[in-house]
Amino acid sequence: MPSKILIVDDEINILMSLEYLLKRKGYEVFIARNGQEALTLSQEKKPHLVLLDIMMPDVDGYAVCEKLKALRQPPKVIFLSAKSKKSDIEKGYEVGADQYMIKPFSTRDLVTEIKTLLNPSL
Amino acid sequence: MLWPLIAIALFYLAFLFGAAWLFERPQAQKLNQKWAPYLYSLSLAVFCTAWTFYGSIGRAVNSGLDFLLVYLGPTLVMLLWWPIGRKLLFLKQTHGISTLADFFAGRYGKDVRMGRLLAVLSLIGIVPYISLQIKAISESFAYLAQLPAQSNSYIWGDPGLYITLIMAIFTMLFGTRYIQANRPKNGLIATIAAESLIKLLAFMLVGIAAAYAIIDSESLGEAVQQLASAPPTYRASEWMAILVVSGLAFLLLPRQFQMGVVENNSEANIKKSLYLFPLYLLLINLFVLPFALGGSILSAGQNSDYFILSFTRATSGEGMAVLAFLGGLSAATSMIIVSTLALGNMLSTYLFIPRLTRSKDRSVAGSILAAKRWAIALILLLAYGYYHFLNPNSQLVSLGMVSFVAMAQFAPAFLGGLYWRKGNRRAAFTAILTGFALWFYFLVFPDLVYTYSPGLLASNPWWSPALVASKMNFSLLTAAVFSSLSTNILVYWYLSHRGNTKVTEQNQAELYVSAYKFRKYSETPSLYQGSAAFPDIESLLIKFLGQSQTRQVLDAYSLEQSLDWNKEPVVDSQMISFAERLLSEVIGPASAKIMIGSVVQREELSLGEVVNILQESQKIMELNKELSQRSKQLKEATQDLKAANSKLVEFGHLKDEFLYTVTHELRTPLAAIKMQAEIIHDDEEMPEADQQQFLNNIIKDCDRLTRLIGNVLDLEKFESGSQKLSLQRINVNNLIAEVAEAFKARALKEAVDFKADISTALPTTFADADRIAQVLTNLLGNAFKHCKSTSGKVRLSAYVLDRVLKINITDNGPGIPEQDWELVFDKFYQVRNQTRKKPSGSGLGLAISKNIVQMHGGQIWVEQAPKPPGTRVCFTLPLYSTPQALTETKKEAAKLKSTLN
Repeated sequence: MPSKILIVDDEINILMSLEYLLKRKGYEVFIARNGQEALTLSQEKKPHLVLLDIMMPDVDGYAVCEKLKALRQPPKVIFLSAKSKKSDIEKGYEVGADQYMIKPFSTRDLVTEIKTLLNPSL
Repeated sequence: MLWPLIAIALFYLAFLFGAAWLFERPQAQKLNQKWAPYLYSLSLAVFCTAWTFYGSIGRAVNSGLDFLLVYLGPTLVMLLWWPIGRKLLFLKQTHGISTLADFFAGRYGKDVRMGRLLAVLSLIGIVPYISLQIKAISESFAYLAQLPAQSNSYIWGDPGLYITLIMAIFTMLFGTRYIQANRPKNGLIATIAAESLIKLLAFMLVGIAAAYAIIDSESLGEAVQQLASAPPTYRASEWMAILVVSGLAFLLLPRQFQMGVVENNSEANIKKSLYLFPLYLLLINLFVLPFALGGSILSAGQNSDYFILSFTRATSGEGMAVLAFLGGLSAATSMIIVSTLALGNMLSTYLFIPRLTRSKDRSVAGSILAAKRWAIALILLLAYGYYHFLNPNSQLVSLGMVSFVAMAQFAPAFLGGLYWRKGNRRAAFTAILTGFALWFYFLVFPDLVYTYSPGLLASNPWWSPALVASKMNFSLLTAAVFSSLSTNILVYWYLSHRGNTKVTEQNQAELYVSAYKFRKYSETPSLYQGSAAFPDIESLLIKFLGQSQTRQVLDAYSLEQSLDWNKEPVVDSQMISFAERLLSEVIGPASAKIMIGSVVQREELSLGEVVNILQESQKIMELNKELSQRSKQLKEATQDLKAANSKLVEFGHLKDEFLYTVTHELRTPLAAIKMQAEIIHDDEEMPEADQQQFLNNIIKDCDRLTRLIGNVLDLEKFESGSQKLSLQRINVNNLIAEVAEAFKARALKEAVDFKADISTALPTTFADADRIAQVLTNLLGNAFKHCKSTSGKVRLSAYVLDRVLKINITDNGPGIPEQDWELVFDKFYQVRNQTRKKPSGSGLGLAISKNIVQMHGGQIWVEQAPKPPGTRVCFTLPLYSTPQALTETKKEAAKLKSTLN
């Protein structure tokens, strides 16, 4: 049974690329274009891991993360953001993120991180 | 009637002592103050001496009304007494002047020689005059007592001797009570005033009696006729001379200066005297008239100097004659007392005290008083000797006039000293000496020759003053007055214009001439820079003022200035000036300067520096005012700076934020590019179609990055002002049509209803065509992005109103909330407002458009769409016929902006 990953970003190119990449790696992938959509999908599909952008219209990534972590089975969360300030990163961990990656990031690192988070025993 | 007369005379003198003692008492202080103006006016009448009492009548008997001139002169001077007397009072109080010699010495550079000259010449001019008073007393006494004519050998039988001795005692007792010669002496003032009153009353009573006597006379009418028709004995020139000389003498006689200035303490006294003293003169002369009339009836070759006595005795009896004698006695004694006192002060200050200043004694205060008393004794001795041994036989009037002319020689330097800054010491000194030389030649020399060497002039007639005078067609007196005074004035004027004066002299000239500028001594500028040790100053004061007086003045001074000598052992220049004035009162300004100079390390200031100090104190006050104003301004400036700083900090934040936003915006496409490249690279089994798709995306993202970077650079150029417009004449219709053409294709593709309604031909204007096209593209692009996704509508309209082109671009999208209408033109507005739909542009379009429009002198704004919801963005472009017009408009706009800021 493949792990479920939700990708949340308003940048269509990034969204599509990540979806393509992770599907090819064998994950079950869902995508959301904004925060609200992400929350609805999370409750519905119960992903194991969420890749979350911060700067989005309507609900921002921090608020989404807090709500995700409040779920009965909180998913692992990796922030993928162009926000590179130290204070932004700290805030990301404060709201419960498991990892924070600054755009542009390496897909290889991302895949490693995802594997690590989804199989802690490894 | 020898013994009764002696008794009466002694009684009178006792009365004088009693009056002086009474008024000297501290209890009489109130009375003195209350009566001060009257006492002052009466004491000025010390001018009327035995000469007035006996001489005027002698003159009237012999030559009619000429005698009046001697009183008309002072009356005229009284018209000027307010300014002159007031200024002299001021100078006396501020500079410690005690005599006329002090005035001269002080005014002309604090110079001992100047004071000495005044003292010696006054002595020469006045001593014969005093001796005449003694003579008048002696002879009137002898006349009434019917004693035989005085024999020169029998000195002890001369009542004049005893009177002189008594006068000496009186003057010493009541004239030298204080070591400070310029302190008003109440007893003395009261006595002199009383004597003036007595002589006036005596004169009036005797005159009334005489009038009664002649009114019965049958020959009265004849006498009046005779008096009226009598040819004037003086010529007009001589009248003039007498008028001038008596007026000047009134100012400069030592006794007048003593009573009019030195013994005065209040301006109120001067005011009262302005009419009281002329009234006195009028009254006393009114009663000369009966004698003038009676004289022509009754005189029969008697000595006309004592005519009043013989006439009164003959017509009104012994009692009235004694009254007349008392009047004469009072006139003579008051003159002797005051003249002697004044001369004594001059003599001691300039001949004796300079020697005392060299004394090593701790205190010479006692010696100073002794010196003053010795000087008084010496003067009276000289006067008595002159009378007794030389026995001048001239009439009272003529000798008095000689004295007047002598004193008048001080006038040019005196008046010049008061009112003319340029007058200097050398000029004054030389002028006075020259005047005196001429005085001596015309008025003393002939008598000397007549007495000692009668043949001299006969053998050398060209030396004869009388001959010179007759050549000038003047009498001897007139020649003396006019030649001496005119030469005097000329020399004074000429020498004052030549040669340099010393610093001290210039300072003193300024202080005297501009007396009122320095209202209080403590306000006068210190003429020295420097300081002295307090003990030195103290011991100097003790030396001349004595221990107790020194304690008193120093205590008063320290109280007034709130100083503590124990804590401040060094005194400042103000204290030094104060000490110098105290010393001046005792030893005169010249010696005081020397003594102060001996203990003070100081540097004299030039007049310029003094003036500077004056101006500086003024400036300091102004500076203080300015300083407080400045500090207020500074406070305001600080606040402004704070505001500016916080603005700067804010700008800094904005800049940081901008940079951060830019990097963020760069990172996003960059992230996409990198990710896609990695995917292609790492996924070897990727289908080719997918690869193509990814590469395509990468190219688009690169374009986006390029656009973003271009926009950022554009904006940076606009905001730093380095962006220049390339102006050219543009056809607005064509420009709009070109841009609209590009969007027509997009409208077709995105199914947007797009219309660019330009029905009219718009005028041409000067603008940067590419930039205006950029604005239109930006705005249209936004409109296409934000219009309704289905049945979207975009409209472009343009028209000209008031030489301004207005272009509107309207869409039918959701619209912009009104509070954001201005904010949308900020950089990355959309980025910072994350709740809005993510833009696909750079976020800089509107900011750049705003810059472009403003550079063209236009405006850009958001307004309500005609059919809400929807957005309408408008911008204006003023129409320019030349490129210069645009530059001008922008300059004005910049000016307006800076004034608004």
